[in-house]
Amino acid sequence: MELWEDWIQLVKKGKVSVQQCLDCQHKQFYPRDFCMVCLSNNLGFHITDGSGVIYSFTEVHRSPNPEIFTPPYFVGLVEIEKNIKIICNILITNGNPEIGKKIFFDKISDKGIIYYSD
Amino acid sequence: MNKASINSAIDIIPYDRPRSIYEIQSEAINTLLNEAGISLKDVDGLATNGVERFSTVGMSEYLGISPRWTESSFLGGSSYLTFIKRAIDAVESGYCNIAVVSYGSNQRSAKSRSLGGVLENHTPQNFFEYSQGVLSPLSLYALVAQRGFYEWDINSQDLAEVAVNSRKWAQLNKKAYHYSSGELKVQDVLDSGLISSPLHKLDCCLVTDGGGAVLITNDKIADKLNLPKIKTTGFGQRDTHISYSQMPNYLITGAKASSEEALKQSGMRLSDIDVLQVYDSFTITVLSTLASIGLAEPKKIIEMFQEGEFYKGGRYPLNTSGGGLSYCHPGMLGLLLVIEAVNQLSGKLKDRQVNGASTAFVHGTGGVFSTHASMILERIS
Repeated sequence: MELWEDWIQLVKKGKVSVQQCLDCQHKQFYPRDFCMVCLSNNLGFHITDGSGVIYSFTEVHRSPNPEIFTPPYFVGLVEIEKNIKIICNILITNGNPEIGKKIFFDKISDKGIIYYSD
Repeated sequence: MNKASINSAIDIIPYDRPRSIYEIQSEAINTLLNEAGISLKDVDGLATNGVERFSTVGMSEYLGISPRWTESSFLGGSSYLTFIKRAIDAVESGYCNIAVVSYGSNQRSAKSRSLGGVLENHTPQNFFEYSQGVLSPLSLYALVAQRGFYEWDINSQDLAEVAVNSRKWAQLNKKAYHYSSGELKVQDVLDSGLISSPLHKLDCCLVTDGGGAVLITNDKIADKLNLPKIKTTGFGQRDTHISYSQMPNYLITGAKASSEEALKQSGMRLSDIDVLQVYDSFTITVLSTLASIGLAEPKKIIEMFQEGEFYKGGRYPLNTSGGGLSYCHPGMLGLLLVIEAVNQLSGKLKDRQVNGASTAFVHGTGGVFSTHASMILERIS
């Protein structure tokens, strides 16, 4: 879907966004062709400040696709805006991720893996 | 309006030789109908899925029937509770008189299950979530478990109690994959290796072949053939999301609303229930569901496991077949949960029979805590 590609293109420029309705200002994720509150089709992207809070995490020990993912690695459910969470990878300098910890957008890999780090 | 009921149920768990999906289903259906004294050609309703793209059509063709009513929604693990309810409604409305709900899977022998999940390129869950390396659905249940540990003050040892309880039941069920595997200890679960933390291998359901069938007729036919009558006195369904980012509440699931609706319809409370069959794709699925339906707080539920309240002789005998964790898990367990409940209420289960069981609560969970169906079953005659 073109809207989803637009979202990824922004991430590749270092900008993590959520979709925002230009009429009622409602923020939503993932991008859709209409505002889920007022049904407007007049939507844009709101760029987040790049931070996120770890809501939960898991250390993956088996690869869903060995050509792309090399275990072990941390997958997180990260709140990037109020009530909006995304799935991404987490890099922690020392030790394990902690629920409630603030992390920041770091990079997106060639294979499309989005990393947040501390 | 006609009155309809569930009259019999059978599970087929093949261990001797691999069978196709068609064979598993036809064996279940033919055995069921023979025992009931009903001819296959009189079956005029069929619900199944996962056979092929045209599931009910393909299965009907294999059986040589041409039903007037069919149902084949895909809701994952809750599908078959929904099918049972829809079949009851269809018989009561007169769309059909003799309905069969059947399921079969040969995922173990056909090696058709992948840890990565089923990928559909055009979906939001594939674009935004599978692209990040989750094992689906395993990692997504693991994320709920990790958050649950944080909010509920429990740990991996506590969660392992769910698997320990299932193994105890499996040792009473000759059809169970782990019938002869011996006792399972909490430490065995912890030692089985992390797959997606905090879930270990033995926190996860089995991958097996298997299936079964359930017969639903109107009460005139049931009385004429002297068949038992198990009534569905309550049913509730809630489907909340399929992309994980869209899950409205990660700790209290759609099971809350679906169970409230089912209990309200039946005029019962959980305390009126004799036996529980709750989908156990993972240990966390059971804890989350029992908490969401309001049985008790999670920490208290763990204590109830430790005190044997969910085992034979306890207050809430749970997953008495051994469940998906220790009996079988052929891709979707939903129909087998209903079959176990029906057979408990029919008093047929010998070693694992819950004495005097006359009411059952069955809950199906599909996707990533996505689809929920709750059903109250009662034995009438």
